[in-house]
Amino acid sequence: MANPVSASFEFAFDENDQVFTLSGSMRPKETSEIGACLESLRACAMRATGMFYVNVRRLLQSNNIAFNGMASVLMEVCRERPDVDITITMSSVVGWTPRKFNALRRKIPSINVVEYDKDFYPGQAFVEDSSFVSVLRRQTTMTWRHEKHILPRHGIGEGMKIADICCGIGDFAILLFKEFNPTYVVALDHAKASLEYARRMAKEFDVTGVEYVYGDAAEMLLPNGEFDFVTCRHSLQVFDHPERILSELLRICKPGGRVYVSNEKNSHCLGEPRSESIQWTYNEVAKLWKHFNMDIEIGPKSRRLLLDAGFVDIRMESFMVTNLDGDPEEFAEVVRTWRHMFADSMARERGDDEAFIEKFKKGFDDHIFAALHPKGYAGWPIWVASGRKPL
Amino acid sequence: MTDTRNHSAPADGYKLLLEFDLDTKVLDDQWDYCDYMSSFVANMVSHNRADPFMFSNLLSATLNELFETVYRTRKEAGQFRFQILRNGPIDRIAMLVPCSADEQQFYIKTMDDICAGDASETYLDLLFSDKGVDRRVGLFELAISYNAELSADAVEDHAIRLTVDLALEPETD
Ligand SMILES: C[S@@+](CC[C@H](N)C(=O)[O-])C[C@H]1O[C@@H](n2cnc3c(N)ncnc32)[C@H](O)[C@@H]1O
Repeated sequence: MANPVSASFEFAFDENDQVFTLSGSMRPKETSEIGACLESLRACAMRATGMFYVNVRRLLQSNNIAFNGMASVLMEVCRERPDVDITITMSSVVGWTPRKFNALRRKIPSINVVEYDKDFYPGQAFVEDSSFVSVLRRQTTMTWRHEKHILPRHGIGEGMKIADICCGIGDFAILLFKEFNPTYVVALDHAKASLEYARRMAKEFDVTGVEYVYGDAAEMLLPNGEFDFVTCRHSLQVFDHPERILSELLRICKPGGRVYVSNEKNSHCLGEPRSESIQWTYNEVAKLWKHFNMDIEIGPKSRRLLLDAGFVDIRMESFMVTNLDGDPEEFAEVVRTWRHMFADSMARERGDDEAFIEKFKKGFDDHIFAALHPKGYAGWPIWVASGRKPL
Repeated sequence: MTDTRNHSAPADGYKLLLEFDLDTKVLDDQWDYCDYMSSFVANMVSHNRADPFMFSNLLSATLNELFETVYRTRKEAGQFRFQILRNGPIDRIAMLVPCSADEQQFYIKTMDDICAGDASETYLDLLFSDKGVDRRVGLFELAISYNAELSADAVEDHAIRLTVDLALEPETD
């Protein structure tokens, strides 16, 4: 996906949060061309009390004339209003900004410069961990068996422009590419390790039609109305504000196109024998995620979330990944990685004691037992839902 | 503008991606061309980089600084020539700018200043100057902030040849 050719920019001030937002591309020939913007920046900052934010997360470009103009205003504010605390919020996704604004911080040490997307999301550290890769890979193998047949019911067709947001290690994007022959696929994620993996895999499979893009799903730099079909799988559940992501998915979708999401309700994972222990543990998984402000129970809420976001013609269904779908060992392996991630990493991080962790792990072990039992059954339910963007 | 992707492969390992010529008079009249050309070239040559969006954003920023520097050069009548070549991780921007001997000296002197020990401080001074923007700032920025290798060579007494080698993506593997 290329940067849009854009010579225009916008600015706005949010009085409530004292945020001055600049977006677009600022490349004036003379400072006077952006005079109104600089004047407004100066006026807003001068009237501010306490914290004043300058948001450049979507300022795609700025030449040195504009940058110098902005910096001059901020230096003036620092001189005249030393009581105002200025913070610049930038995004690591917009490549030019860290270099320039870190230079500004060297010039004026009292200005804070923060990368907004770095520390913002509660569960980011867990899901961006590179050990997460193996679980994602196996999960996709198992869900694809079902989704391959489900996707056409949700409007996917050949020759489409597709975006897979929060693509993880990018395997789903490659599968889409091979199965549905799209014009192209853009796959976006915020974990660099996963994207590296994705690019290597695409190369290995000789897939050239998928572009892997580093980005923040809550504030994407992809253009409006670009994609016929937008997917976002198992990811609304890692954000504390899933509605923000949905509004971005809606924005990049073409009017008349569809957005497809899949989500879990982990407390509904099940198995026989040893169902009670299994059920206890997965109820605890839901509470554990909640502790980190993430909702692993979103599955059945997908319909409401899509309607609230403004989608119409909602289609929704569920499927169960089970130990009988393929090799039961595959199912067991996924549960092993969950046990590791949820019990060894997240529960310890929450500060749980050993007795709890033991009991917590037991449910995963019992789920594995059920999966591998010659007469056993183990399941992981998933809800998929899609909505159409109104014309 | 012509896409010459499949043309010559120079002996030094650089492959020509794209080149065009433009009458200097057109360039003198059109400030907006700086933005247009940077965005266009960046979009054209970024798709096969690992992260096309990031690469294109950085390349557009660097190209725009160069085009703006050229715009502010007092040019002679003739053809401005632009080329972008690639050798693995390195992208080479080559520009031929028809100009007077004075302007040749501007570029050669700036290159010397960029190599001086205090170049980083000079860059900050230029960037945050309260007297408006000094036209050397773009060249300093490429060298200091983007670690580019720059050179400027006089072509007899009527043009300057600028070469900028950039590695915009972090090394992987
Ligand atoms: C549970 S994984 C799902 C990955 C993939 N869709 C799958 O089904 O295999 C959630 C993904 O969301 C990504 N993510 C988290 N925060 C993000 C953000 N702000 N922007 C984009 N992606 C983000 C994580 O890096 C992770 O790959």
